Amino acid sequence: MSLSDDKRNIFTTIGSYTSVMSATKMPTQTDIFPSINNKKDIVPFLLDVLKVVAGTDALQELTGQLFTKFIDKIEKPLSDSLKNQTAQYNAGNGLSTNFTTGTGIRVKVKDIDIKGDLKINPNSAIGDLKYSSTTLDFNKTAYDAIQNAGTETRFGSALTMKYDAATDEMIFKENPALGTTIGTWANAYINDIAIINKKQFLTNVMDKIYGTVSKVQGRAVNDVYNELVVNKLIEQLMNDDESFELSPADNAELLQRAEEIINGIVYYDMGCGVMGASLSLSGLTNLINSISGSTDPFYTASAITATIDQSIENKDVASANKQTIKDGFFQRLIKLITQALAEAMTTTPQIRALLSIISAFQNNGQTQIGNPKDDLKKFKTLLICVIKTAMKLINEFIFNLIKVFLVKLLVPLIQVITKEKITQYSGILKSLIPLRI
Amino acid sequence: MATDFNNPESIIGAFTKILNLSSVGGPPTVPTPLILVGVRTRSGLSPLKMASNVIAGKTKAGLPVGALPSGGVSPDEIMERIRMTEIVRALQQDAVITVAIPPGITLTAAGISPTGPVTVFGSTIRFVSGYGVIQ
Repeated sequence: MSLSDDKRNIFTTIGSYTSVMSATKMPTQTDIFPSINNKKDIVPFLLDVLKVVAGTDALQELTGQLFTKFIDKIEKPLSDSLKNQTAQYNAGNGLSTNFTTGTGIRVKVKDIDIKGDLKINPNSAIGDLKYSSTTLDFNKTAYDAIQNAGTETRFGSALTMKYDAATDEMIFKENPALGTTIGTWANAYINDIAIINKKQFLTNVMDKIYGTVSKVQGRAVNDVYNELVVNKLIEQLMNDDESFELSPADNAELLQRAEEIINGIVYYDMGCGVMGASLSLSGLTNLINSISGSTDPFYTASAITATIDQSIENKDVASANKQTIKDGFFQRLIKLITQALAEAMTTTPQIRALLSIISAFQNNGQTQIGNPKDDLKKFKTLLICVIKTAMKLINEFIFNLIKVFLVKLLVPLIQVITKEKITQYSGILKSLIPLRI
Repeated sequence: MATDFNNPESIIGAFTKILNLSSVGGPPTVPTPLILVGVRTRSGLSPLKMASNVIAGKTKAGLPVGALPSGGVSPDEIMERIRMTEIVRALQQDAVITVAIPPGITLTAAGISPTGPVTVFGSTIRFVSGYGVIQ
Protein backbone atom coordinates (compact mmCIF):
# COMPACT_ATOMS: atom_id res chain seq x y z
CA MET A 1 0.00 0.00 0.00
CA SER A 2 1.13 3.51 -0.73
CA LEU A 3 1.55 6.23 1.89
CA SER A 4 -1.59 7.95 0.64
CA ASP A 5 -3.55 4.70 1.06
CA ASP A 6 -2.32 4.43 4.65
CA LYS A 7 -3.33 8.05 5.37
CA ARG A 8 -6.72 7.50 3.76
CA ASN A 9 -7.16 4.39 5.85
CA ILE A 10 -6.60 6.34 9.08
CA PHE A 11 -9.41 8.80 8.23
CA THR A 12 -11.88 6.12 7.15
CA THR A 13 -11.11 3.97 10.20
CA ILE A 14 -11.68 6.88 12.61
CA GLY A 15 -14.88 7.75 10.75
CA SER A 16 -16.11 4.17 10.92
CA TYR A 17 -15.35 3.85 14.65
CA THR A 18 -17.27 7.08 15.31
CA SER A 19 -20.15 5.80 13.26
CA VAL A 20 -20.17 2.39 14.97
CA MET A 21 -20.06 3.97 18.44
CA SER A 22 -23.03 6.19 17.71
CA ALA A 23 -24.87 3.16 16.36
CA THR A 24 -24.29 1.18 19.57
CA LYS A 25 -26.96 3.29 21.25
CA MET A 26 -29.88 1.23 20.05
CA PRO A 27 -33.32 2.85 20.05
CA THR A 28 -35.45 2.00 23.07
CA GLN A 29 -37.71 -0.93 22.31
CA THR A 30 -41.44 -0.39 22.53
CA ASP A 31 -43.11 -3.39 24.13
CA ILE A 32 -46.29 -4.32 22.30
CA PHE A 33 -47.29 -6.58 25.19
CA PRO A 34 -47.79 -4.86 28.53
CA SER A 35 -47.31 -8.21 30.27
CA ILE A 36 -43.54 -7.95 29.56
CA ASN A 37 -43.17 -5.30 32.24
CA ASN A 38 -45.58 -6.94 34.65
CA LYS A 39 -43.16 -8.70 36.97
CA LYS A 40 -45.35 -11.00 39.04
CA ASP A 41 -48.69 -11.65 37.35
CA ILE A 42 -47.99 -14.62 35.11
CA VAL A 43 -51.44 -15.19 33.57
CA PRO A 44 -51.39 -12.07 31.31
CA PHE A 45 -47.95 -13.14 30.07
CA LEU A 46 -49.20 -16.66 29.32
CA LEU A 47 -52.20 -15.23 27.46
CA ASP A 48 -49.93 -12.98 25.38
CA VAL A 49 -47.71 -15.95 24.51
CA LEU A 50 -50.80 -17.96 23.58
CA LYS A 51 -52.00 -15.15 21.28
CA VAL A 52 -48.59 -14.95 19.59
CA VAL A 53 -48.33 -18.71 19.07
CA ALA A 54 -51.90 -19.52 18.10
CA GLY A 55 -53.66 -16.24 17.34
CA THR A 56 -56.37 -14.49 19.32
CA ASP A 57 -58.94 -17.21 18.57
CA ALA A 58 -56.98 -19.42 20.95
CA LEU A 59 -58.32 -17.30 23.83
CA GLN A 60 -61.81 -18.51 22.96
CA GLU A 61 -60.61 -22.12 22.88
CA LEU A 62 -58.80 -21.66 26.20
CA THR A 63 -61.96 -20.29 27.81
CA GLY A 64 -63.86 -23.37 26.64
CA GLN A 65 -61.13 -25.62 28.01
CA LEU A 66 -61.05 -23.82 31.36
CA PHE A 67 -64.81 -24.21 31.74
CA THR A 68 -64.70 -27.91 30.92
CA LYS A 69 -61.47 -29.87 31.18
CA PHE A 70 -59.90 -27.59 33.79
CA ILE A 71 -62.66 -27.12 36.34
CA ASP A 72 -63.77 -30.72 35.98
CA LYS A 73 -60.46 -31.98 37.39
CA ILE A 74 -59.30 -29.45 40.00
CA GLU A 75 -61.60 -30.34 42.89
CA LYS A 76 -59.21 -32.86 44.45
CA PRO A 77 -56.02 -30.76 44.37
CA LEU A 78 -57.92 -27.76 45.73
CA SER A 79 -59.48 -29.89 48.44
CA ASP A 80 -56.08 -31.40 49.37
CA SER A 81 -54.53 -27.93 49.58
CA LEU A 82 -57.31 -26.72 51.85
CA LYS A 83 -56.84 -29.76 54.11
CA ASN A 84 -53.07 -29.17 54.30
CA GLN A 85 -53.50 -25.52 55.15
CA THR A 86 -56.17 -26.02 57.80
CA ALA A 87 -54.15 -28.76 59.53
CA GLN A 88 -52.88 -26.68 62.47
CA TYR A 89 -50.75 -27.47 65.52
CA ASN A 90 -53.97 -28.43 67.35
CA ALA A 91 -55.15 -30.91 64.70
CA GLY A 92 -54.68 -33.82 67.09
CA ASN A 93 -56.66 -32.20 69.92
CA GLY A 94 -60.19 -33.23 70.64
CA LEU A 95 -63.00 -30.91 69.61
CA SER A 96 -64.06 -28.42 72.29
CA THR A 97 -67.23 -29.27 74.20
CA ASN A 98 -68.57 -25.90 73.09
CA PHE A 99 -68.55 -27.19 69.50
CA THR A 100 -69.73 -30.72 70.28
CA THR A 101 -72.30 -30.53 73.06
CA GLY A 102 -72.22 -26.88 74.16
CA THR A 103 -73.75 -23.73 72.74
CA GLY A 104 -71.80 -23.92 69.46
CA ILE A 105 -69.75 -21.38 67.53
CA ARG A 106 -71.69 -18.22 66.68
CA VAL A 107 -70.94 -16.26 63.50
CA LYS A 108 -72.79 -13.31 61.99
CA VAL A 109 -74.43 -14.42 58.73
CA LYS A 110 -73.15 -11.30 56.96
CA ASP A 111 -69.60 -12.32 57.89
CA ILE A 112 -69.83 -15.62 56.05
CA ASP A 113 -72.18 -14.49 53.26
CA ILE A 114 -70.27 -11.61 51.68
CA LYS A 115 -72.31 -11.60 48.44
CA GLY A 116 -75.73 -12.12 49.96
CA ASP A 117 -76.10 -15.52 48.26
CA LEU A 118 -77.91 -17.05 51.23
CA LYS A 119 -80.80 -14.61 50.79
CA ILE A 120 -81.68 -15.97 47.36
CA ASN A 121 -84.73 -18.22 47.09
CA PRO A 122 -83.62 -21.55 45.55
CA ASN A 123 -86.90 -21.73 43.65
CA SER A 124 -86.29 -18.44 41.83
CA ALA A 125 -84.57 -18.14 38.44
CA ILE A 126 -81.38 -16.87 40.13
CA GLY A 127 -81.68 -19.50 42.84
CA ASP A 128 -81.63 -22.15 40.14
CA LEU A 129 -78.22 -20.81 39.06
CA LYS A 130 -76.85 -20.24 42.53
CA TYR A 131 -77.78 -23.49 44.30
CA SER A 132 -77.12 -27.09 43.43
CA SER A 133 -80.17 -29.32 43.39
CA THR A 134 -78.25 -32.51 42.74
CA THR A 135 -75.28 -32.45 45.13
CA LEU A 136 -74.69 -31.55 48.76
CA ASP A 137 -74.58 -27.76 48.81
CA PHE A 138 -73.49 -25.70 51.81
CA ASN A 139 -75.40 -22.63 50.56
CA LYS A 140 -78.63 -24.59 50.17
CA THR A 141 -78.30 -26.07 53.67
CA ALA A 142 -77.53 -22.64 55.14
CA TYR A 143 -80.52 -21.16 53.29
CA ASP A 144 -82.78 -23.88 54.72
CA ALA A 145 -81.37 -23.23 58.20
CA ILE A 146 -82.13 -19.51 57.86
CA GLN A 147 -85.65 -20.26 56.70
CA ASN A 148 -86.14 -22.59 59.66
CA ALA A 149 -84.67 -20.38 62.38
CA GLY A 150 -84.05 -22.19 65.65
CA THR A 151 -83.96 -25.62 64.02
CA GLU A 152 -80.71 -27.54 63.78
CA THR A 153 -79.96 -28.47 60.17
CA ARG A 154 -77.34 -31.07 59.27
CA PHE A 155 -74.74 -30.42 56.56
CA GLY A 156 -72.93 -33.56 55.42
CA SER A 157 -71.19 -35.79 57.92
CA ALA A 158 -69.43 -33.18 60.05
CA LEU A 159 -71.56 -30.12 60.71
CA THR A 160 -74.91 -28.88 61.95
CA MET A 161 -76.08 -25.29 61.72
CA LYS A 162 -78.86 -23.35 63.43
CA TYR A 163 -79.95 -19.81 62.66
CA ASP A 164 -80.59 -17.34 65.48
CA ALA A 165 -82.97 -14.77 63.95
CA ALA A 166 -82.70 -12.41 66.92
CA THR A 167 -78.97 -11.87 66.46
CA ASP A 168 -78.73 -12.78 62.75
CA GLU A 169 -76.12 -15.36 63.66
CA MET A 170 -75.46 -18.88 62.49
CA ILE A 171 -74.57 -21.36 65.21
CA PHE A 172 -72.23 -24.10 64.07
CA LYS A 173 -71.82 -27.36 65.95
CA GLU A 174 -70.23 -30.68 65.20
CA ASN A 175 -72.42 -33.47 63.96
CA PRO A 176 -72.54 -35.47 67.22
CA ALA A 177 -72.23 -38.75 65.37
CA LEU A 178 -68.71 -37.85 64.19
CA GLY A 179 -67.02 -37.36 67.61
CA THR A 180 -63.34 -36.97 66.74
CA THR A 181 -60.29 -34.64 66.66
CA ILE A 182 -60.05 -31.17 65.16
CA GLY A 183 -57.97 -32.40 62.22
CA THR A 184 -60.30 -35.27 61.39
CA TRP A 185 -63.31 -32.97 61.69
CA ALA A 186 -61.76 -30.41 59.30
CA ASN A 187 -60.97 -33.14 56.77
CA ALA A 188 -64.50 -34.54 56.98
CA TYR A 189 -65.98 -31.05 56.48
CA ILE A 190 -63.72 -30.33 53.48
CA ASN A 191 -64.67 -33.70 51.99
CA ASP A 192 -68.33 -32.69 52.25
CA ILE A 193 -68.06 -29.32 50.52
CA ALA A 194 -67.76 -28.86 46.77
CA ILE A 195 -65.13 -26.12 46.34
CA ILE A 196 -66.03 -25.82 42.67
CA ASN A 197 -69.71 -26.32 41.96
CA LYS A 198 -69.66 -25.98 38.19
CA LYS A 199 -73.00 -24.24 37.80
CA GLN A 200 -72.30 -21.78 40.61
CA PHE A 201 -68.79 -21.17 39.31
CA LEU A 202 -69.97 -20.45 35.76
CA THR A 203 -72.71 -18.16 37.08
CA ASN A 204 -70.22 -16.32 39.27
CA VAL A 205 -67.77 -15.77 36.39
CA MET A 206 -70.45 -14.67 33.91
CA ASP A 207 -71.98 -12.36 36.52
CA LYS A 208 -68.58 -10.77 37.04
CA ILE A 209 -68.58 -9.80 33.39
CA TYR A 210 -72.27 -9.02 32.75
CA GLY A 211 -73.60 -8.21 36.24
CA THR A 212 -76.93 -9.81 35.24
CA VAL A 213 -77.49 -11.64 38.53
CA SER A 214 -76.35 -8.73 40.68
CA LYS A 215 -78.78 -6.42 38.89
CA VAL A 216 -81.78 -8.76 39.26
CA GLN A 217 -80.75 -9.49 42.85
CA GLY A 218 -80.89 -5.72 43.52
CA ARG A 219 -77.51 -5.60 45.22
CA ALA A 220 -76.35 -2.30 46.73
CA VAL A 221 -73.44 -0.58 45.02
CA ASN A 222 -71.52 -0.51 48.28
CA ASP A 223 -71.82 -4.30 48.70
CA VAL A 224 -70.52 -4.92 45.20
CA TYR A 225 -67.77 -2.35 45.69
CA ASN A 226 -66.64 -4.06 48.92
CA GLU A 227 -66.64 -7.40 47.15
CA LEU A 228 -64.50 -5.96 44.34
CA VAL A 229 -62.10 -4.46 46.89
CA VAL A 230 -61.65 -7.89 48.51
CA ASN A 231 -61.07 -9.43 45.08
CA LYS A 232 -58.52 -6.76 44.22
CA LEU A 233 -56.66 -7.37 47.49
CA ILE A 234 -56.69 -11.12 46.76
CA GLU A 235 -55.28 -10.35 43.31
CA GLN A 236 -52.53 -8.35 44.99
CA LEU A 237 -51.80 -11.27 47.33
CA MET A 238 -51.57 -13.53 44.28
CA ASN A 239 -48.87 -11.19 42.95
CA ASP A 240 -46.92 -11.14 46.23
CA ASP A 241 -48.15 -7.66 47.14
CA GLU A 242 -49.02 -7.79 50.84
CA SER A 243 -49.56 -4.07 51.33
CA PHE A 244 -53.37 -4.43 51.60
CA GLU A 245 -53.60 -0.91 50.20
CA LEU A 246 -55.42 0.28 47.08
CA SER A 247 -54.42 3.33 45.09
CA PRO A 248 -56.98 6.12 44.52
CA ALA A 249 -57.04 5.12 40.83
CA ASP A 250 -57.85 1.49 41.76
CA ASN A 251 -60.60 2.67 44.11
CA ALA A 252 -62.15 4.87 41.45
CA GLU A 253 -62.02 2.04 38.91
CA LEU A 254 -63.63 -0.43 41.33
CA LEU A 255 -66.38 2.01 42.21
CA GLN A 256 -67.13 2.57 38.54
CA ARG A 257 -67.16 -1.18 37.90
CA ALA A 258 -69.48 -1.70 40.91
CA GLU A 259 -71.91 0.82 39.36
CA GLU A 260 -71.76 -1.04 36.05
CA ILE A 261 -72.38 -4.41 37.73
CA ILE A 262 -75.45 -3.32 39.70
CA ASN A 263 -76.83 -1.82 36.50
CA GLY A 264 -76.02 -5.02 34.58
CA ILE A 265 -73.82 -3.24 32.05
CA VAL A 266 -70.56 -4.34 30.49
CA TYR A 267 -68.46 -2.13 28.24
CA TYR A 268 -66.81 -3.90 25.31
CA ASP A 269 -63.48 -2.53 24.19
CA MET A 270 -63.52 -1.80 20.46
CA GLY A 271 -59.95 -0.50 20.31
CA CYS A 272 -60.96 3.07 19.51
CA GLY A 273 -63.87 3.29 21.93
CA VAL A 274 -66.19 1.27 24.12
CA MET A 275 -69.69 -0.07 23.61
CA GLY A 276 -72.20 -0.68 26.40
CA ALA A 277 -73.98 -4.04 26.45
CA SER A 278 -76.12 -6.13 28.77
CA LEU A 279 -77.21 -9.76 28.93
CA SER A 280 -80.73 -10.60 30.06
CA LEU A 281 -81.38 -13.07 32.86
CA SER A 282 -83.00 -15.46 30.39
CA GLY A 283 -79.89 -15.19 28.17
CA LEU A 284 -77.65 -15.97 31.12
CA THR A 285 -79.89 -18.81 32.35
CA ASN A 286 -79.93 -20.39 28.89
CA LEU A 287 -76.16 -20.14 28.68
CA ILE A 288 -75.50 -21.65 32.11
CA ASN A 289 -78.01 -24.46 31.57
CA SER A 290 -76.53 -25.31 28.19
CA ILE A 291 -72.86 -25.33 29.24
CA SER A 292 -72.89 -26.44 32.87
CA GLY A 293 -73.26 -30.07 31.86
CA SER A 294 -71.03 -29.84 28.79
CA THR A 295 -67.61 -31.45 28.52
CA ASP A 296 -67.02 -30.11 25.01
CA PRO A 297 -64.71 -27.05 25.16
CA PHE A 298 -65.60 -25.91 21.63
CA TYR A 299 -69.34 -26.07 22.24
CA THR A 300 -68.87 -24.18 25.53
CA ALA A 301 -66.67 -21.54 23.91
CA SER A 302 -69.08 -20.92 21.04
CA ALA A 303 -72.06 -20.69 23.44
CA ILE A 304 -70.19 -18.04 25.42
CA THR A 305 -69.24 -16.21 22.22
CA ALA A 306 -72.92 -16.12 21.26
CA THR A 307 -73.66 -14.05 24.39
CA ILE A 308 -71.63 -11.21 22.90
CA ASP A 309 -74.12 -10.92 20.03
CA GLN A 310 -77.06 -11.39 22.39
CA SER A 311 -75.87 -8.58 24.64
CA ILE A 312 -75.35 -5.94 21.93
CA GLU A 313 -78.10 -3.72 20.58
CA ASN A 314 -76.20 -1.93 17.82
CA LYS A 315 -75.36 -4.95 15.67
CA ASP A 316 -73.79 -2.92 12.84
CA VAL A 317 -71.15 -1.24 15.01
CA ALA A 318 -70.52 -4.54 16.78
CA SER A 319 -70.15 -6.38 13.50
CA ALA A 320 -67.49 -3.95 12.29
CA ASN A 321 -65.50 -4.43 15.51
CA LYS A 322 -66.36 -8.05 16.17
CA GLN A 323 -62.84 -9.47 16.42
CA THR A 324 -61.59 -6.68 18.70
CA ILE A 325 -64.60 -7.04 20.98
CA LYS A 326 -64.17 -10.81 21.08
CA ASP A 327 -60.44 -10.63 21.89
CA GLY A 328 -60.98 -8.16 24.73
CA PHE A 329 -63.97 -10.13 26.01
CA PHE A 330 -62.12 -13.44 26.29
CA GLN A 331 -58.98 -11.88 27.75
CA ARG A 332 -61.16 -10.29 30.43
CA LEU A 333 -63.15 -13.48 30.96
CA ILE A 334 -60.00 -15.55 31.55
CA LYS A 335 -58.80 -13.02 34.12
CA LEU A 336 -62.19 -13.25 35.84
CA ILE A 337 -61.96 -17.05 35.87
CA THR A 338 -58.70 -16.80 37.83
CA GLN A 339 -60.39 -14.31 40.15
CA ALA A 340 -63.43 -16.56 40.66
CA LEU A 341 -61.11 -19.49 41.34
CA ALA A 342 -59.26 -17.55 44.04
CA GLU A 343 -62.63 -16.46 45.43
CA ALA A 344 -63.85 -20.08 45.59
CA MET A 345 -60.86 -20.88 47.79
CA THR A 346 -61.17 -17.87 50.09
CA THR A 347 -64.46 -15.99 50.37
CA THR A 348 -67.43 -18.29 49.65
CA PRO A 349 -69.80 -18.98 52.59
CA GLN A 350 -68.52 -22.54 53.04
CA ILE A 351 -64.88 -21.38 53.23
CA ARG A 352 -65.74 -18.45 55.50
CA ALA A 353 -67.61 -20.90 57.75
CA LEU A 354 -64.52 -23.15 57.86
CA LEU A 355 -62.28 -20.18 58.73
CA SER A 356 -64.69 -19.07 61.43
CA ILE A 357 -64.77 -22.54 63.01
CA ILE A 358 -61.03 -23.28 62.92
CA SER A 359 -60.28 -19.80 64.26
CA ALA A 360 -62.70 -20.47 67.12
CA PHE A 361 -60.81 -23.66 67.97
CA GLN A 362 -57.78 -21.49 68.75
CA ASN A 363 -59.73 -18.83 70.61
CA ASN A 364 -61.87 -20.45 73.29
CA GLY A 365 -64.79 -21.00 70.96
CA GLN A 366 -64.96 -17.37 69.79
CA THR A 367 -64.72 -16.93 66.02
CA GLN A 368 -62.08 -14.59 64.67
CA ILE A 369 -63.68 -13.69 61.37
CA GLY A 370 -65.38 -10.37 60.76
CA ASN A 371 -64.74 -7.82 58.03
CA PRO A 372 -63.48 -9.77 54.97
CA LYS A 373 -60.80 -7.16 54.27
CA ASP A 374 -59.37 -7.52 57.79
CA ASP A 375 -59.63 -11.29 57.53
CA LEU A 376 -57.32 -11.26 54.54
CA LYS A 377 -54.63 -9.95 56.88
CA LYS A 378 -55.55 -12.30 59.76
CA PHE A 379 -55.53 -15.43 57.62
CA LYS A 380 -52.90 -14.19 55.19
CA THR A 381 -50.59 -17.21 55.30
CA LEU A 382 -53.37 -19.75 54.89
CA LEU A 383 -55.07 -17.75 52.12
CA ILE A 384 -51.84 -17.15 50.18
CA CYS A 385 -51.09 -20.87 50.22
CA VAL A 386 -54.52 -21.97 48.97
CA ILE A 387 -54.59 -19.19 46.34
CA LYS A 388 -51.15 -20.25 45.13
CA THR A 389 -52.41 -23.80 44.70
CA ALA A 390 -55.27 -22.53 42.55
CA MET A 391 -52.99 -20.26 40.51
CA LYS A 392 -50.45 -23.03 40.04
CA LEU A 393 -53.15 -25.24 38.56
CA ILE A 394 -54.42 -22.59 36.14
CA ASN A 395 -50.88 -21.51 35.12
CA GLU A 396 -49.93 -25.12 34.43
CA PHE A 397 -53.10 -25.69 32.42
CA ILE A 398 -52.52 -22.63 30.21
CA PHE A 399 -48.82 -23.49 29.87
CA ASN A 400 -49.65 -27.02 28.68
CA LEU A 401 -52.10 -25.66 26.10
CA ILE A 402 -49.41 -23.28 24.81
CA LYS A 403 -46.97 -26.20 24.71
CA VAL A 404 -49.32 -28.08 22.37
CA PHE A 405 -49.43 -25.09 20.01
CA LEU A 406 -45.66 -24.59 20.29
CA VAL A 407 -45.00 -28.22 19.35
CA LYS A 408 -47.22 -27.76 16.28
CA LEU A 409 -45.14 -24.72 15.36
CA LEU A 410 -41.72 -26.14 16.17
CA VAL A 411 -41.94 -29.66 14.71
CA PRO A 412 -41.94 -28.43 11.05
CA LEU A 413 -39.23 -25.91 11.95
CA ILE A 414 -37.06 -28.64 13.48
CA GLN A 415 -37.59 -30.75 10.37
CA VAL A 416 -36.39 -27.87 8.16
CA ILE A 417 -33.34 -27.24 10.37
CA THR A 418 -32.51 -30.96 10.38
CA LYS A 419 -32.78 -31.06 6.60
CA GLU A 420 -30.55 -27.98 6.42
CA LYS A 421 -27.95 -29.68 8.62
CA ILE A 422 -28.00 -32.79 6.43
CA THR A 423 -27.51 -30.63 3.32
CA GLN A 424 -24.65 -28.77 5.00
CA TYR A 425 -22.97 -32.01 6.05
CA SER A 426 -23.37 -33.46 2.62
CA GLY A 427 -21.87 -30.25 1.17
CA ILE A 428 -18.85 -30.51 3.49
CA LEU A 429 -18.28 -34.14 2.50
CA LYS A 430 -18.57 -33.36 -1.20
CA SER A 431 -16.17 -30.45 -0.87
CA LEU A 432 -13.59 -32.76 0.71
CA ILE A 433 -13.79 -35.42 -1.98
CA PRO A 434 -11.41 -34.37 -4.74
CA LEU A 435 -12.78 -36.65 -7.43
CA ARG A 436 -16.34 -37.14 -8.49
CA ILE A 437 -17.48 -40.56 -7.40
CA MET B 1 -35.86 -29.75 36.77
CA ALA B 2 -39.63 -29.60 37.17
CA THR B 3 -41.32 -26.30 36.37
CA ASP B 4 -42.67 -24.33 39.35
CA PHE B 5 -45.93 -22.91 38.01
CA ASN B 6 -46.10 -20.30 40.77
CA ASN B 7 -42.75 -18.86 39.79
CA PRO B 8 -42.60 -16.54 36.73
CA GLU B 9 -38.85 -17.18 36.25
CA SER B 10 -39.40 -20.94 36.23
CA ILE B 11 -42.21 -20.69 33.64
CA ILE B 12 -40.14 -18.36 31.44
CA GLY B 13 -37.23 -20.83 31.78
CA ALA B 14 -39.49 -23.65 30.60
CA PHE B 15 -40.46 -21.65 27.49
CA THR B 16 -36.81 -20.81 26.80
CA LYS B 17 -35.93 -24.50 27.02
CA ILE B 18 -38.63 -25.42 24.50
CA LEU B 19 -37.73 -22.57 22.16
CA ASN B 20 -33.97 -23.18 22.01
CA LEU B 21 -34.66 -26.26 19.86
CA SER B 22 -32.16 -28.38 21.78
CA SER B 23 -33.80 -31.50 20.30
CA VAL B 24 -32.28 -30.67 16.90
CA GLY B 25 -28.86 -31.87 18.10
CA GLY B 26 -25.40 -31.27 16.66
CA PRO B 27 -24.02 -32.36 13.25
CA PRO B 28 -22.12 -35.66 12.89
CA THR B 29 -18.32 -35.55 12.90
CA VAL B 30 -16.58 -35.40 9.53
CA PRO B 31 -14.23 -38.42 9.15
CA THR B 32 -10.62 -37.35 9.90
CA PRO B 33 -8.94 -39.11 6.89
CA LEU B 34 -11.40 -37.36 4.59
CA ILE B 35 -10.45 -33.98 6.06
CA LEU B 36 -6.74 -34.73 5.68
CA VAL B 37 -7.15 -35.74 2.08
CA GLY B 38 -9.85 -33.34 0.99
CA VAL B 39 -8.84 -30.09 2.64
CA ARG B 40 -5.83 -29.67 0.30
CA THR B 41 -8.11 -29.58 -2.72
CA ARG B 42 -10.26 -26.71 -1.46
CA SER B 43 -9.84 -23.32 -3.11
CA GLY B 44 -10.12 -21.23 0.08
CA LEU B 45 -12.33 -18.21 0.73
CA SER B 46 -12.94 -15.68 -2.05
CA PRO B 47 -14.91 -12.50 -1.31
CA LEU B 48 -15.62 -12.02 -4.98
CA LYS B 49 -16.97 -15.54 -5.34
CA MET B 50 -19.09 -15.14 -2.20
CA ALA B 51 -20.52 -11.80 -3.35
CA SER B 52 -21.34 -13.21 -6.78
CA ASN B 53 -23.04 -16.22 -5.14
CA VAL B 54 -25.21 -13.88 -3.05
CA ILE B 55 -26.13 -11.89 -6.18
CA ALA B 56 -26.90 -15.15 -8.00
CA GLY B 57 -29.10 -16.14 -5.07
CA LYS B 58 -30.96 -12.84 -5.42
CA THR B 59 -31.63 -13.66 -9.07
CA LYS B 60 -33.01 -17.08 -8.09
CA ALA B 61 -35.27 -15.39 -5.54
CA GLY B 62 -36.63 -13.15 -8.28
CA LEU B 63 -35.09 -9.98 -6.88
CA PRO B 64 -33.71 -7.35 -9.29
CA VAL B 65 -29.96 -7.44 -9.94
CA GLY B 66 -27.57 -5.58 -12.23
CA ALA B 67 -27.25 -1.89 -13.09
CA LEU B 68 -29.83 0.63 -11.94
CA PRO B 69 -32.24 2.11 -14.52
CA SER B 70 -30.01 5.22 -14.44
CA GLY B 71 -27.07 3.07 -15.54
CA GLY B 72 -25.29 3.40 -12.20
CA VAL B 73 -23.97 0.41 -10.25
CA SER B 74 -26.44 -0.95 -7.71
CA PRO B 75 -25.40 0.26 -4.21
CA ASP B 76 -26.77 -2.99 -2.84
CA GLU B 77 -24.35 -5.03 -4.95
CA ILE B 78 -21.45 -2.75 -4.04
CA MET B 79 -22.34 -3.29 -0.39
CA GLU B 80 -22.37 -7.06 -0.95
CA ARG B 81 -18.83 -6.92 -2.25
CA ILE B 82 -17.68 -4.69 0.64
CA ARG B 83 -19.43 -6.90 3.20
CA MET B 84 -17.95 -10.15 1.88
CA THR B 85 -14.48 -8.64 1.58
CA GLU B 86 -14.56 -7.56 5.23
CA ILE B 87 -16.00 -10.86 6.46
CA VAL B 88 -13.28 -12.83 4.68
CA ARG B 89 -10.57 -10.39 5.80
CA ALA B 90 -11.71 -10.70 9.41
CA LEU B 91 -11.83 -14.49 9.20
CA GLN B 92 -8.41 -14.72 7.56
CA GLN B 93 -6.58 -12.04 9.50
CA ASP B 94 -8.36 -11.64 12.85
CA ALA B 95 -9.88 -15.01 13.65
CA VAL B 96 -8.13 -17.18 16.19
CA ILE B 97 -8.57 -20.92 15.82
CA THR B 98 -7.74 -22.99 18.84
CA VAL B 99 -7.99 -26.75 18.64
CA ALA B 100 -8.46 -28.51 21.97
CA ILE B 101 -7.33 -32.12 22.06
CA PRO B 102 -8.44 -34.18 25.04
CA PRO B 103 -6.18 -36.68 26.85
CA GLY B 104 -6.59 -40.35 26.02
CA ILE B 105 -5.52 -40.23 22.37
CA THR B 106 -4.00 -43.64 21.68
CA LEU B 107 -0.56 -43.63 20.14
CA THR B 108 2.12 -45.95 18.87
CA ALA B 109 5.70 -44.65 19.01
CA ALA B 110 8.98 -46.08 17.81
CA GLY B 111 12.35 -45.45 19.49
CA ILE B 112 15.69 -46.88 20.44
CA SER B 113 16.77 -48.25 23.83
CA PRO B 114 20.17 -49.59 24.97
CA THR B 115 18.93 -53.00 24.01
CA GLY B 116 17.84 -51.96 20.56
CA PRO B 117 14.73 -50.55 18.78
CA VAL B 118 11.52 -50.45 20.83
CA THR B 119 7.88 -49.80 20.04
CA VAL B 120 5.74 -48.05 22.63
CA PHE B 121 1.96 -48.26 22.84
CA GLY B 122 0.06 -45.82 25.03
CA SER B 123 -2.17 -42.79 25.20
CA THR B 124 -1.78 -39.06 25.83
CA ILE B 125 -2.35 -37.95 29.40
CA ARG B 126 -2.73 -34.15 29.07
CA PHE B 127 -5.00 -31.68 27.38
CA VAL B 128 -3.25 -30.31 24.30
CA SER B 129 -4.08 -27.26 22.24
CA GLY B 130 -3.22 -26.41 18.65
CA TYR B 131 -3.71 -23.35 16.47
CA GLY B 132 -4.74 -22.68 12.89
CA VAL B 133 -5.69 -20.04 10.35
CA ILE B 134 -8.61 -19.79 7.96
CA GLN B 135 -7.60 -19.40 4.32
